[in-house]
Order: sequence, then structure tokens, then C-alpha cells
Amino acid sequence: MKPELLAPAGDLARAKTAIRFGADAVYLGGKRFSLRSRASNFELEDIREAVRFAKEYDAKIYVTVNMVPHDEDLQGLEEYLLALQQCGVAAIIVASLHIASLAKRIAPAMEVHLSTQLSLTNSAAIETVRRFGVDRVVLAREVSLDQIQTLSSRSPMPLEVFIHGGMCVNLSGRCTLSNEMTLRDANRGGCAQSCRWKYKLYRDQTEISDPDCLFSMSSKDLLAIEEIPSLMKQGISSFKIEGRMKSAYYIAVVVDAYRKLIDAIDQGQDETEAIEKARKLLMKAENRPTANGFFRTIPQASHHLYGVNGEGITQDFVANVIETHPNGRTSILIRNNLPVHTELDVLSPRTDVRSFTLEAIYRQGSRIEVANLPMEVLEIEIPFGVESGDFIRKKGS
Amino acid sequence: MRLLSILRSIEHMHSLKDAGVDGIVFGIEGFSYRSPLYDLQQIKEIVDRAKSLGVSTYLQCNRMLDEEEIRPASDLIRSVDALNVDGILFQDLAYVTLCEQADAKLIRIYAPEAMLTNSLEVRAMLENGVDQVMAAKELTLDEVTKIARENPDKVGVFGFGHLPMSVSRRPLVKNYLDEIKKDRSLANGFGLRLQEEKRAFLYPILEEGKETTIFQDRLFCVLPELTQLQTNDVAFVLADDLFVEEGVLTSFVHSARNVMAQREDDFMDRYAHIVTSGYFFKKTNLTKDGN
Repeated sequence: MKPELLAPAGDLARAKTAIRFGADAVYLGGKRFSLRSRASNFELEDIREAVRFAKEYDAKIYVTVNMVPHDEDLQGLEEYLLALQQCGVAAIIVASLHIASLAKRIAPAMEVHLSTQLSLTNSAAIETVRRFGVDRVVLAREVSLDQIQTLSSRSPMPLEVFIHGGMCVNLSGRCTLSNEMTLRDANRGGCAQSCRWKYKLYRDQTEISDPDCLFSMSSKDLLAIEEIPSLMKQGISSFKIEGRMKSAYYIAVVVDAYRKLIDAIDQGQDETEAIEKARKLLMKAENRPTANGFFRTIPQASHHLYGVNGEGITQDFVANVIETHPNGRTSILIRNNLPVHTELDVLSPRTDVRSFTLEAIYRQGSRIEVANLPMEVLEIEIPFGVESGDFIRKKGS
Repeated sequence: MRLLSILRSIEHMHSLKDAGVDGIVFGIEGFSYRSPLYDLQQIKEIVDRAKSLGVSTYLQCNRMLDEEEIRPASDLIRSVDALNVDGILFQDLAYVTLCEQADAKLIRIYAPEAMLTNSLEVRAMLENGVDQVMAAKELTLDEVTKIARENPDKVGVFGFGHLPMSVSRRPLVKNYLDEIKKDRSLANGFGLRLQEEKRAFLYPILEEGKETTIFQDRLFCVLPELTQLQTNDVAFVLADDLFVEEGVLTSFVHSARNVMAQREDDFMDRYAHIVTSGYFFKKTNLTKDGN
């Protein structure tokens, strides 16, 4: 059975983008009870709309209820779970076994997925959590491909694995660096990513770190395209993309790449070719440098980011399509500097990337040479059909 | 309320008993880290000696188990149960199932560090195969006492030692040493410290087996709040001596016994300059905006 492609969304627009570009399910966070508090913008009305939109595409909406709550955080939880069920949410993702059992009892129409915060790495632990009503387990990022294979054959319930995006360098749920450094609780949505900061390293009072390249725990992002064929053969139920705080463009590129890769493998196409095609597509997303996590080996120095301040974000994404007009022009929303005569790609759902040269830009009917005001709506001519929500970027190599 | 202490060496047991400990905690090779590690033969000796002294014994299995370690872990449970070890402290929920499958009489103490943070979570665990729990170290005193009151004699707390802040399954120090082309052997031992580039604190970092742990620099000590914990039905207090000078742990146990018996004690006068109350009076619920 083809695995589910599960994508993140930080707001309604990104949820719709993920679904249009081929996600089978989208996970998002409400304003309460969720980690990634900065990425949790969904009011219940937004969640209801996300569910309605998802149904049009035969997709599902999952909601993260994955904070590790203190007693003071639990007020209103039952009402919230009931409201999510009433919205038509297919599943909640939890890090608390109390919330798992409570949800199963009072809102049984929703599945309960156990978050990677629990760091589950073996079948006996999965057996234990089954008694709390858990329907699916998100495995720890620390399991290898071989371990996943054995686990999958022994697991009494469906498994979900991360295939792409940011990596916690520490065991999820067991890291309180933020609590110490910033008084922000990582398990309640306050992670300050202190693991990505720089540290001097001492041994017995003597500094042994390199002043030009200080110690850091910063991990490269996960990129698992080469593991997708194996994971599909192992019967993993769901492939998860990390990144509720990522842009709509990032979501579109990453979902598009994995959608095409999974479909190609499912259709028996050449795996090597499909992987290389996906790799080229993914290179256009604003990724940190990537590695394959724990899938093949314990991460080594090459899996880390040392001496890096920025995240190497590309500026290739230049505009969104808003609408097309009868006169052949297309309104676009400018996101990055865009001069005329630029070679551009258009990224549309479930379609190969199409390219054209930008011949003219119009501001209120008059031609201009360069668009450099972000969020300005301008018109251009595109020599093929596009749809609202498509992405325009500088042409790839 | 019971006083539990890490057993740094078998010879240490008598002094801990004399200081007033009720139970000792120790690790075993392959399944534990951050604790002194013993083999089954040594554990038999520990249990025999402890029984003769009237001290309880607890095995600390705080590593998360890989799939291939399930069978050895199952064998371990049966072995230590047969040795009459009293209880097991564990982080991995696998041990609940493994203890049930082995029909072990071990007291099952779920100690997942930062994950047990409210009364209902504790209750859920107690209703599903767990006998006792250790509350998260990131709780305030009010939160801990509320959880303990609502689950009397079921909730233990970390009482003394350096609080762990993070655990990674990556060799973080060795990887870094590889990056800067220095000898990997520098990663061994207890002498490593991290200093965030804008902060003064020196955080102990320990790379051991498959895990790398970073600890708070200050020594957490529960003595000033011990009476409150006692009167709020906390089940036990656990003391650790990792990165602590020899003799200080025993001194803490002795002082804790004094405080619990309402006798005068000067531990805090002697060590006030190096100890902290951890998160007992420090909520960690700020947001990025500082709210």
C-alpha cells in the first residue's frame, strides 16, 4: 500500500498549498496545546476550513496537541478535543499519554498519533503505549533503516517516520536547553534552538575548541529521498515532512518532490532516475544543508553544521500567481527582486516544471524594468496556463 | 519519604547506610548511563550486602532501547528479578511490557526526565502498569507538591546533583573533534565543559556509550524544601553524585536525614555557594516575545 505523504502547515494558505501539491494529509497546530507556538496560527474556524478544503482533494487534516502540559495548561483541553472532532479533524498528534487516553474516551472519531517527543525506538515500547489508545506511532528520529524494518514487522500498529526537514539533535522531549538558557520550555512550544548556538569546549580548564569554529550541536536537515524505496517496501504507513514554520514555497517544492518520487516508485519506474529527479527539485527549496540522519549510520561530523551563522537560504522564489486575465496577462505577488529578461520556472501541482523568459513587467499598465517591492501586485505575461497559487522562481540549472 | 542514592562503588554502601539512606540506585552495562555500571555478579553482591543492611536496591535502566536490545533487556529483567532487586527506574516504556511479560515483582518506576509534568499524566501511568514515577525536574515546587498530593506516595523527585539538560544519541564531542582535527580521545572522561559564547556558566558534558548528555553547571539541592516534599506525600528523593566531589553525596544524605527528623543541620551553610534550587522557584513558560 502506498504510504501517506504528510506535510506541515503553519497557516491555512500553507495547508492549502500542501494539499494542492499532493500531500495526503497535513498536520497543523491550534493556538493552544501545541508545540511550535510561533507556527500555530489556526483558530478553530481555520481548522474547519482546512478540513473542508482537504476533503475536496480526498486528503486529511491532523492537529498537533503535542505540548507536554503542566497542570496549569490543561484547562479547556476536553472542550478543545471535542471541538476538533466536531471540525472533522482525522487525527491528533500527542506527546502525552494522558491526552491520548482522554481523546480516545471523549472524541473517539479522531485517531491518536503518538508524537516523536516520546522517542519510541522499539516494539516493546509501542506495545506499552497501545493500552493508552494510541492508533499510530511516530518513530524517534534516532532509528536506523534496519531497525525500522524489524520494528515494522513486529509493530502492532502503523508507523510514521520523518523523511525531510529539521532535526532535533537531542532526544525529542528530553531536551531542556531552552529552559536553562532562556526560561522558555521546549516541551511547551518555547524551543529557542539553543543547540544551534556556539559553545567553547574545555577540558580540565583548558579550552580545546577552535576559536574560528566553535562547538555546536547544530544538525543538518534530514533528506531521505534515497531511503524512500526501502521505506515503502517496509510498509511504513506515513512519511512525514518537518517544518510548520517553513514558507509556502518550501512546502510546495518539498511536497511536490516527494509526491512525484513516491508515485514514480509506486508505478515501478526506475528508482535511481526518480530519486535524482526528486533531488533536483528539492535543491530549489530554501534548505539548510542536508544529511540522511540515522538511517544508515550514527551521524558523524559531516552531519553537523559548524561555523555557520546563516542557513544558506536561497532567493530563487520570486513570486506567486494570483490570477490570470482575459488579456493574457497574469497578476503576481512579488516576493523577491525580479528584473525583466530573467529566466523563470513555474511550479504547479502534479505537473513538470515549465520555464519561460520574462519579457515584460507591468505596474498599473506601464512597463517597468525591475520589480523590487516585496508584496506588490504586478502583471506579467506567461506563455502557458497557470493557476492561482502556483509559484514562480528563477530558472534552475 | 524515602532517601535514595546512587551507589558510586560497592564499598560506599556502608557509609551511605550510616548516613541514613533507604535505598541505593545503580546501573548495568549496556542499559544504563550516567550511573556507575555493574555486571550481574556484582549486582548480586550489592543486593546481598544491601539486604543485610536493610537497604532497598534499584536498577537504573535509563537508556532508550534499540529494537535489537529488546531480547537482552527481557533477559536482564528476569535476571535481576531473580536476584531480588527491589525495583527498576526506567525511561523507556518498553520496560513496562517487558516486566509484565516476565511477571517480574520489581517495583516499576517510570523516570522519563522532562516528560512527567502533571497530575493526570502521572495517574495515567499508574493506571497502566507503572508503580511509581519520577516527576520532571523542570517543575516548580508548587507543581511538584500538587502532583505528589494528588498521587500520594507514588511520586519521586530528583533531590541532589547536576540536572541533565539534554541527551543526544550522537557522539557530539567526538564529531566536533573530528571537525577541528583533534584527537578523539579528548572526548573521554568527566573533565569536559561547555560554555555558551555569551554566558559564563560551564556546563558539564559527558559522552558515554551511545549517549551524550549536557548538565547544568550548578548543583541542585532540595534540602531547604525537603520538609515540604515530605509533608506533601512525595514517595522518595533521589541523590546523584556525578561531577560531585567525593564525600559530598554522603554528607547530603546525612543532612537530609537530619532535616527530615527536624534536627539542626549546616549543609546549606557549607555549600550555599555552589547549590541551586533548580526550577523550584523559576517557571519556564516564557515565550519568544518574553511573555
